[in-house]
Amino acid sequence: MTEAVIGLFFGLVTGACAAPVWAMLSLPMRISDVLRAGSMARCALALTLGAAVSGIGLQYTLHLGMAFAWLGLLFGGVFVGMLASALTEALEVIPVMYDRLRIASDLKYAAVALMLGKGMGAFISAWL
Amino acid sequence: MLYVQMKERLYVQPGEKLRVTDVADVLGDQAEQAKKLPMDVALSEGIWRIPATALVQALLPLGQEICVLGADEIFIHVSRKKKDASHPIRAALAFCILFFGSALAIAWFHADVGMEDAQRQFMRMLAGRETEHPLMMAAPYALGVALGVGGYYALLPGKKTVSPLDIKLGEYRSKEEKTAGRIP
Repeated sequence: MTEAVIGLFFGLVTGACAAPVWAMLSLPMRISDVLRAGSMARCALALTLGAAVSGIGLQYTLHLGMAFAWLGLLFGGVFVGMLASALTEALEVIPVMYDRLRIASDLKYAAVALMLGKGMGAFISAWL
Repeated sequence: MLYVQMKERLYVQPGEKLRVTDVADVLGDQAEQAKKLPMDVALSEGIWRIPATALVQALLPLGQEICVLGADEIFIHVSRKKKDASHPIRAALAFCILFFGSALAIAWFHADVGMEDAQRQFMRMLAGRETEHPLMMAAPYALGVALGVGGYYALLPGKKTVSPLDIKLGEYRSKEEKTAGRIP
């Protein structure tokens, strides 16, 4: 019983720390803006369910097949890519750099470079 | 009665003569004459803040009642238009920094959080077995990362949202103007 209570509080702390990070980076807002995915409440529900399922589920298996696992990794990758972009954005480094170099008209190519670089980085880190 | 609304910002070359129509939209009696009136400001290179009072000053000779709507200042960027031969080099430099930098940063982050183990566990949870090739695991994930970054920065086709980069650049510019803008 004591373990269950302690475990509950561990989980509460972890959840209460993870959620504000996503919220501070405006990540659910950006995702629902890009995909026209509707209300924030639904995004919050999805985030909560995902966190809870991975909290329990990593010890069990669902036997859903390889294709499903690949799909899961693809979606996971999309989330991590957006999270990394939002983190970069919070620091405001790139727009200032492009303004300093007087190439602000090329700001779109900054995003292309980040997309290719991050995709490549994610791939080679498994390769090496 | 003259209604004037100041524009947000203006880019000019040094020594260019400014008129009322350059810095503001004008409506009302004698609007056409008002637009042609000169603004009495001499600007050297830099960022300048022209307050609405300077606009009113320029319009006074018409003897009309003046009503200023909205913004009460305009920022004027004065800079010489030079032939910019090194632009492609700087653009390539920035591209390389961002490309290799972000690749390194992601690889670094993955080593830091033990991404391979996490992906293995994730595979086991969903599929019930592990794949023999780590690359088969990394490929969909890396594609996902690229799609995520592209989606975030509004690079993917579909509904055109504003890229957060453009928003940040606009915010940075207006902060810069507020700080650096001098009143002539």
